[in-house]
Amino acid sequence: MQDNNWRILTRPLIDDNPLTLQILGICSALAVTTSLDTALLMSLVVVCVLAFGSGSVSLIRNHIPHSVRIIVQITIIATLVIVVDQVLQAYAFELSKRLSVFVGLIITNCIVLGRAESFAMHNGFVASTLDGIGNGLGYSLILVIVGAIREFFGKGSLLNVQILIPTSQGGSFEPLHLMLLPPSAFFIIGGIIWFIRRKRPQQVEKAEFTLRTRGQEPK
Amino acid sequence: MNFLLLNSGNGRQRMLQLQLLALLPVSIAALVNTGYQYLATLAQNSTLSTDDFRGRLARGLGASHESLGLFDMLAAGFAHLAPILALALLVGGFWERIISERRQTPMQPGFILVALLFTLLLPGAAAFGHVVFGMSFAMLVGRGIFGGDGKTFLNPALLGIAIVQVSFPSVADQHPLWNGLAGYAGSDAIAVYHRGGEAALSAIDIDLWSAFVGSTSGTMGTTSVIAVLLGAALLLIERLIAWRLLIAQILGLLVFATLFNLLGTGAGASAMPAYWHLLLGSFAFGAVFLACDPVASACTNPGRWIQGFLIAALVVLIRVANPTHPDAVIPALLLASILAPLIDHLVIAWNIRGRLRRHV
Repeated sequence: MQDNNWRILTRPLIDDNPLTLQILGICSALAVTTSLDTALLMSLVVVCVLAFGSGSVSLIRNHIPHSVRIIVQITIIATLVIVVDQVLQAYAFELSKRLSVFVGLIITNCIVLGRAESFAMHNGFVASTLDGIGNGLGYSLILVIVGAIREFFGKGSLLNVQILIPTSQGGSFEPLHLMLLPPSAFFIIGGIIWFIRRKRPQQVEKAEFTLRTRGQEPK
Repeated sequence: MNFLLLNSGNGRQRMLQLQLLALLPVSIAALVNTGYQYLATLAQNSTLSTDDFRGRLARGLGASHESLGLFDMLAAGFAHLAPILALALLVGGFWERIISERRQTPMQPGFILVALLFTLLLPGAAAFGHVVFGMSFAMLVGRGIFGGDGKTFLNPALLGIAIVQVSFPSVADQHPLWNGLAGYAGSDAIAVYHRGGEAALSAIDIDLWSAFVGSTSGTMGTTSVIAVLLGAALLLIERLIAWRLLIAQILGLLVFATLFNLLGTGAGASAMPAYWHLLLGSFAFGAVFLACDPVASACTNPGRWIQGFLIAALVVLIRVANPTHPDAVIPALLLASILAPLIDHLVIAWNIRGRLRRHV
């Protein structure tokens, strides 16, 4: 049992990562990763919402009528998100302003609803909470990597501590403007997916289409 | 179009030679004009420092702004174009070697064309670090990930130049000798028009003739329309580019520019007449050498018309609406290139439907 719980917690980190294997929650990963501090805060928020959301859904899973289960799940998740949003506005107003609507949009984050629907509806409280935390951490891992790369190459700093001095202030580091634009997160996430699938070839999907070369019949 | 050529090794080599040959007039124009721009700026303001690498190289080759003869221009142009081209070739060859070695396939010579196109789309003052960055991106993503010669769905040179434009918005400005230049993202002449209209253009001595010949400042290979036309003639005679796509772009530009003249506010570039759209910036160069890439453009005839009009519409729209991208050709081509397979797909589906209906 102990072993099983450990697997539930660690599987979503790399082997079943919601971002790099299931390709869920990409939109927020593009929006909040221009700097490391917003990425960290967003990670924390998502871990909380996932853990409490999956846990609460699991607790009442036997009382939810099947036909309205999505509505019930959404209600629980939305409540949690609103609570978290209010807490952020009270205690970290500056950061919450920079995260803007993306805290509220966690409601629509496919990872949260996906875990509630596919795991918490069929498993006990402890397992569901661990699954929520694990998926949140898997999401956070990618977010933090992307956020660190984007802040470092885009501004030459990490967590707002200037490490390299940009040319505009007389230094020798030239910021990559690209890194501050959303598409750069696509490149970085693509690179991470490529790297993981190289190390774990079992994650590679089957090709939908193979190129035909001359004299070779299609398979 | 000679699609059969693409499938055999010999044909691919011949195609590459023809494309390089077609770029020869543009390259010569680039040498002369880059040198001319450099020396003319020096002649106006002789207090400027020329003690950087390129300035020393130009002096070493004997270029002087006092005589300003053809040889001086060629030497000064060489001092700007050759280092960038050599670096681009070196970086391209390096990645080509690594990619082909790791995949155990023969090396493809396409990187030579990519390096030349990439160089011609850069301003003469481009920083060497940016050349390495852009060329590496072009080779790794355009060649390594999207497929090599004859298989890529985006022209690698286009990708490389786009990434440089987006990553470093205003770098060429830092060099005092190229103060007029609007960074990587475009033509100075159009930026000037944005600010002051026709009067501002004639104030810096740009008229129809100089824009046609190409003695205006801008990215190295794209200023001279007449040199582009020479290359286009060769490519058209050899049927390496689709005339429908070319004509569609030119017609589209005339139509949409006129439309904006009639309906626009008259501010900025919306009042720019169609002939300026054709002559200024890198539209002519992009339309012939980038848009008509035989692999990355639409391959059905109606698709070519649609893609050509789409490119023209995007160029005019971005030029008018977005002063930070005064040239607009690169983003427009990128978008149209990505849409090319979709356009082809729709044309084919539409054709199948029509035929089915006729033969029930």
